[in-house]
Amino acid sequence: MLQIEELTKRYSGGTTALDSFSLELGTGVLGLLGPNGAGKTTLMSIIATVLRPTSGSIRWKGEDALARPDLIRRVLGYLPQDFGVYERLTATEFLCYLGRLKGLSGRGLRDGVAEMLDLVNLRPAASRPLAGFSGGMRQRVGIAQALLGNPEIVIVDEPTVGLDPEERVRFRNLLSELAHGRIVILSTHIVSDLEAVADRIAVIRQGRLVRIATPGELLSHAAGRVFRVVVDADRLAQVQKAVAVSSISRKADGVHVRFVAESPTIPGATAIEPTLEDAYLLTNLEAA
Amino acid sequence: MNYVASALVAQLDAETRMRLRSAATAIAVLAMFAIAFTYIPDPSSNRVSISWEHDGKLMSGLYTSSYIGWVVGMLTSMLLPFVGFYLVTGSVKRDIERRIWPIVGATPTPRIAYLAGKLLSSFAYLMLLAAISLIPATFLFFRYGHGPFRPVDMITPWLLLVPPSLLFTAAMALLFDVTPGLRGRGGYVVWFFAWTMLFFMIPGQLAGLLDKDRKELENPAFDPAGIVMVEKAVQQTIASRPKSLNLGIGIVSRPIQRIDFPGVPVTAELAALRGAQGLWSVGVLALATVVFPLGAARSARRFSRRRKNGDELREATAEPSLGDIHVRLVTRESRPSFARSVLADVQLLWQTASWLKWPMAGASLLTLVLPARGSSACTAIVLILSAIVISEAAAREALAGTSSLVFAQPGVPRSTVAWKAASVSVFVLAILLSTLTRAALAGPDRFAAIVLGAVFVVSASVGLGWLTQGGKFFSALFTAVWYVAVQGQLDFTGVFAIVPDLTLCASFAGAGLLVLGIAWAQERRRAR
Repeated sequence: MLQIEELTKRYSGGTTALDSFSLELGTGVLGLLGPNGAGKTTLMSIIATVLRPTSGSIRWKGEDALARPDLIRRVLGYLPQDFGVYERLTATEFLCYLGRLKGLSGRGLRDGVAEMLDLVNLRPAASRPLAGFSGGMRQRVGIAQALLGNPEIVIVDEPTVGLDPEERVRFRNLLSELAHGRIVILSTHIVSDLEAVADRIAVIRQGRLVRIATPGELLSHAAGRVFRVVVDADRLAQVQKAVAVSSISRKADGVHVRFVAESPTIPGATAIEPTLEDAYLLTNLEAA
Repeated sequence: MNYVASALVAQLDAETRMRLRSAATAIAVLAMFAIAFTYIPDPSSNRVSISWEHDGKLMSGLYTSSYIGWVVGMLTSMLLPFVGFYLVTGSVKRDIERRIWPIVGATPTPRIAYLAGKLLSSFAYLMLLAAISLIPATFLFFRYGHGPFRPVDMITPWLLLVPPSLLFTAAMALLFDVTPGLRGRGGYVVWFFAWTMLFFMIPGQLAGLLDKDRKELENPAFDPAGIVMVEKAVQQTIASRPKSLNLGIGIVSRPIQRIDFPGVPVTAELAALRGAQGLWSVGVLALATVVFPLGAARSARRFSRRRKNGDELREATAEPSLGDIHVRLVTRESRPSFARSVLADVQLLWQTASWLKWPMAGASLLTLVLPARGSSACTAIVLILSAIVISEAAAREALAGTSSLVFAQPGVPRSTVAWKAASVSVFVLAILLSTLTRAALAGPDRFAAIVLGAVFVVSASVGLGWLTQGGKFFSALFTAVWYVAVQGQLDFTGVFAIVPDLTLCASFAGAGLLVLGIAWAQERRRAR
């Protein structure tokens, strides 16, 4: 069990990235959802012990993880949002380097690295310098190093960036399988990724936890609050000013506008089945 | 042409803003200000900046406005290129690595305009730093000066000497920046030798400076720093070639005779000659424009092997898909520790040394078997190559963007400075093992000297690397110190001098440890 209590992070410029954030995590996938600058990456960096909080505590199996960061590091697999690689090294060498830092050695290290390269299907490119890797391949190297050593906590920040749609689906399946017996914290802007794999979703806004719920609970909350209306193109701007629009599509019969609201404020609007994206938009609207 | 003009202005504006917002600029300005005070030493002291021997007397100039202009101009045009190179090189490399170049490259801006903009902005920056030195010069004229203050007389020699030198420096910095193999750590060391060749040896050779029997010096076609012009100025003053000419700050034990120094008459021909030096910079810019696409393409995407068969090439470079993933993770025994993380970093140092590791290892082994002179030469090679390898060790994670990956690992200690000091120490000791063994056999003094030298190398590289978050400063400083040491002076290792000076070695080691201590204290302060 990972317990986060009243975590706050203030940067020297005065920005509060996290504000008294509290959460308890057990096994399964927790999705973090929020706009840019909400504090998702800050939260993940603090849990990963790369950043120190201004105040608050993190406990891992009852022990203070801030005082002893190695408690978490020993069981952690972390894939940051933006990371570099050592371009002169091959994928194998890079993974071996990180494996050694994790405390792996000898046969265990070699077998572990080989296993990871197979897992992300990079064995054919294992001997190529990382300088020649595409963005997607580097992302897979990142995934491989995060899973090296069979971690109990996996933190992945925007993990599907650079992956093509098929690979995204496969990676989502990987996360689902990983979640058995592990804590997986996933941050993404792609709501469909969370819909597919998350057991719970935490909505973060301006450094605070706005809501934590299962996808089903979020969708139930949004039921009856999502509408669709067809308008002329010249009325679109007016509609956009009046309601929170979740999507716009131009069709032969006009502009189909999907929006969230407590009631159908636009004449001609009809209630429709909500998606998770609608539910997220509604949560943000209520929090604002 | 509109694109060209606006690209030049845009580049100048952007680079100037970035540089002025950098802490390095503030440090450079303060350093230039402070150093300029040493250009004009107290005339009643035993320190002198330009001096020459004539008729058995040691001479220097009276501190007129003109002479001060000559001194400041000469020292700036000679010395600022060495340091200034490190301040301005790297902006093209930065654009490529941070993926700004693809955005710029997709605009109508011609490549030459992009590079010319980089050149002009570097030149403007160096001129700003050079101009700083005129402030202390003016102050010192009023303190020690002789005769009325004539600003035109002070600024004229400065204008003749400094701009061509700095324009050439900016051009060379650009050329190094776009050339694979020169744009990184190796280039930082190569620049020292290029600087001595381009600013001193080649112009001196062309002018016949080394030919003491020659009565009249040539006006060389290539003389960016104007060193021949200064020698001619001295020649005009004493109506013959000086027996020796010292350009640089020194301490003398003999009385100095100060005489009026009229310098060289500024004629249109002289001004044209100095202006023509700028053509060399244009040539270097043209070369950089040719080299640039090769370097940019290579940096953006590199492949380790090329196959003759096109199909094989496609197969070799085809990106394997992620495939279906079936998770079967095995728990393996892990024992993360400080020692393991140190060894991992040592191994990484070796791996990232690329081709340098082979001559370094070879020279290290030869140190044991060659006779004394050969052994010293090999130690010199080992020192300079290992300095290149370790220069960026302390800032590697910040430079490569791997901080989040590396510092989340259990084996990595909280103190990066301590970690890097340990790993670089192990690496340096391993590579100097032969030298250490030989020194131990030679006697305790030699052994102590080389150990102290190793302490200096390790502590200075880690301390400066961490404080400056890069390897340029250490590379520049170490190369200059190394060059002086292998001549037998300021030998911080005890290997090159006839008799090792343990006090000197200990001083260097102490200075290195001081820098390391500052880095460690700064790290602790930031952690709080």
